Amino acid sequence: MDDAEFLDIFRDEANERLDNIVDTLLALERGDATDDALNVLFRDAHTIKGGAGMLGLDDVRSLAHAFEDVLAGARDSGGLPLALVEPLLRAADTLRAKVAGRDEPTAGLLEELAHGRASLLGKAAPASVDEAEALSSQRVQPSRTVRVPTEKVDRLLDLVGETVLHRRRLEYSLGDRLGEEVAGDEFDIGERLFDELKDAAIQMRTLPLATIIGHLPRAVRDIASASGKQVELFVTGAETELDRIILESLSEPLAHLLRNAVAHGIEPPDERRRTGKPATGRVELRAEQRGRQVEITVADDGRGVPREVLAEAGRDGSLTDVLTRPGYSTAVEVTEFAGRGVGLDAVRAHVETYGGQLEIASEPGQGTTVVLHLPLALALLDVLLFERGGAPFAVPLASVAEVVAVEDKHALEEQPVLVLRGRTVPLFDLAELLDAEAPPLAKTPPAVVLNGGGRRVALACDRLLGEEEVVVKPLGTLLGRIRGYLGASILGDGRIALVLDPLHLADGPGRTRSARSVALVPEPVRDPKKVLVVEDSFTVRELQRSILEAAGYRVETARDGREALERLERDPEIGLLLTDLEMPVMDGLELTRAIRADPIRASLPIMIVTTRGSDDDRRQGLEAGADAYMAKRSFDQQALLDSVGQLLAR
Amino acid sequence: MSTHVRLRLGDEEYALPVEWVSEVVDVGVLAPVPGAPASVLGIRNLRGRILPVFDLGALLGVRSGNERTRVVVAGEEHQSAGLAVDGVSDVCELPEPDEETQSPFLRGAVLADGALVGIVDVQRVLAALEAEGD
Repeated sequence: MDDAEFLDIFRDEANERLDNIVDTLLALERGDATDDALNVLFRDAHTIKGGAGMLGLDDVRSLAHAFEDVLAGARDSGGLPLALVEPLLRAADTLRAKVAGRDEPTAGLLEELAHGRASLLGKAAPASVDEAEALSSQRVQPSRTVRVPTEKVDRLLDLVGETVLHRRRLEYSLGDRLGEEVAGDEFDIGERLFDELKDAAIQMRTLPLATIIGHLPRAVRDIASASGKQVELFVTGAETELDRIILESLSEPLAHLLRNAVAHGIEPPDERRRTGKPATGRVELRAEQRGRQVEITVADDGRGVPREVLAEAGRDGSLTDVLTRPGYSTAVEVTEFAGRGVGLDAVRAHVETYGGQLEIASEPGQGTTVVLHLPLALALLDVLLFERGGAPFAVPLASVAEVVAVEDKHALEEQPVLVLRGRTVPLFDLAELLDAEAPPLAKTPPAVVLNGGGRRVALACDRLLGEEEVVVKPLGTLLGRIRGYLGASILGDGRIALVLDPLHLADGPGRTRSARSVALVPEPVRDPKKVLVVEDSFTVRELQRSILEAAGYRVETARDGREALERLERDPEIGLLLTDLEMPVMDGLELTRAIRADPIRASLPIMIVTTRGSDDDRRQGLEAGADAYMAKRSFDQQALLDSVGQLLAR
Repeated sequence: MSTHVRLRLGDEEYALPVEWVSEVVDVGVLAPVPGAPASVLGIRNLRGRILPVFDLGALLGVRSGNERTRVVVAGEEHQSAGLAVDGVSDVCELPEPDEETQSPFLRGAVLADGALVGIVDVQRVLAALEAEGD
């Protein structure tokens, strides 16, 4: 490991310890700290000091040391006076800034802490005795946690995702044989193991909500005191786990919702008393897992939204829709805190980006409740796949309202709209919306109706490919800032589908105007040709199948001539037949003659691949009506593919 | 002397320090990304990873009608880019660049085997590609 890695580990650890320190200090201030609080604080500060010392971060080390001194003094003098909580909180903030690499002055703070310690001991501050020694006897249990770089966990999930694809391919190639008892049972066992592996991998990437809400009680306290309110924050379900990626981005929206609750929801103490409420307002942050979703609730017992707004919501869709209109705010006046940061529209956008939903309920005089419904794991996303211009695209299934055929189409100012049950939805050709080139759409193309940020938009495409659970991979640091995509997924056939961000699509065109227009696929792709392989040997059959599939053909198989005729009957797409000569039930020559005698299929190209390579055999085969004859002896992949290509090109 | 991967763009020759190159692959199937900057040719499936592929020629201002056949995978693990080129000719030892160049994307140039070889500054190239995405 190099220094940078040590530093990363130290930062992670220090931030956790600092979260803990702030929590404990706030608990001390509220008076509900555990008896052990001072020791806990001391240990946390001591750990930070130790790590900083090792890495040569002298500023951090000396500040942590001063912090520790105050606590040692408090312990010796029988308690921490409330007056010292404030400077310690500030010291924690400064430590956090310095740990993050920001330069902040510490001299004043160090002096203040030294004074604090002096006041505790009633004398000038001498150098502290080494309390670490005293503490070593009560050291915490050795950690049973292993720190793993997040990239490794992401890689594991990547591999799980690839296993999903592999299983799909396997299922497809096993085909009918899944009906056989042994193969079917084994496949089911694999399926179950795989599901468990997937869950385990997802769990490794989830973290408890507690990891990001450490600073929130502090934030609530600050906002409340700045706006002259009394507020208590209750947190339940902090142990609820969420995908790391979702979690990391949730900190800001949650802070905003709490800020809203305190600044707009909770009334000043005298107003609360007048309406018969306790002077101290109650704000709740609650998290709970429900199936494959996590619900995070921010609720307050404040004044609720005005009646006019509720009335408007009654007329005009839901309260959520009204409150998340861009720029909408319930702030009567913009205060220091209320005007800052993101609006509810941004919170909603955020939640929907991850395939979640926002729900707001409010009762005048009783309070407001905001619920964030979020998926447990982001990496595996249920999507709807569709194709435009030969390129596959995906959208989160959660944002798909419905799929329709474009029939009832109108236009105003050249903007086409789709009429659905008496309401209009703006209709776009996906290619046009992305500013990409693609062949024109069919007359009544399928359209995917999306919900994005409360707006609906219909995207016309060439064809639907179906629903799938896919692994969403980020586009990376170099392309990550191109708006409009949540990432990309690799499909079962190796193609890449861009995962579209419903929110940006709902904004309509114009998003990409500055960029050049790209062709989605340079030339139109045709469906790959389908080949029927007739062969009684399992090994040869599968060998031929894999060679042909690798070359891009679709392959069906049959074990003898009779089965082959049945397949041909059912599947008109088959464009070439590859057959062995010696087979049970009906051999290759009989099969060839039967096909040539059938007026519908007489022109189907037939190629015989056999171990019988004599001139006589060849003559017999060609006389029966085969177009090509290949001896397995001289069998080589390229020769097979060349012949197949020639026959299909006719 | 240090090891470089030598490549062709049109009639010109360039080289990347080998420590910045993780592998060289075929162009393969590129999925276009509508809305991406002009230098982005598309994204490619590289053993289950999504690799963005850029036109190195466009970035260096080399106009060549040649088809890009190879992709040099350059960068570090968490930030790698495919740089599409006309072809990769050699992996060889080159001296420190002693010819000055104007391009912000070159560390300079050297004369080797009678050819002028521009030494690509991969860090600068990656920084420029990242900035382009804004």
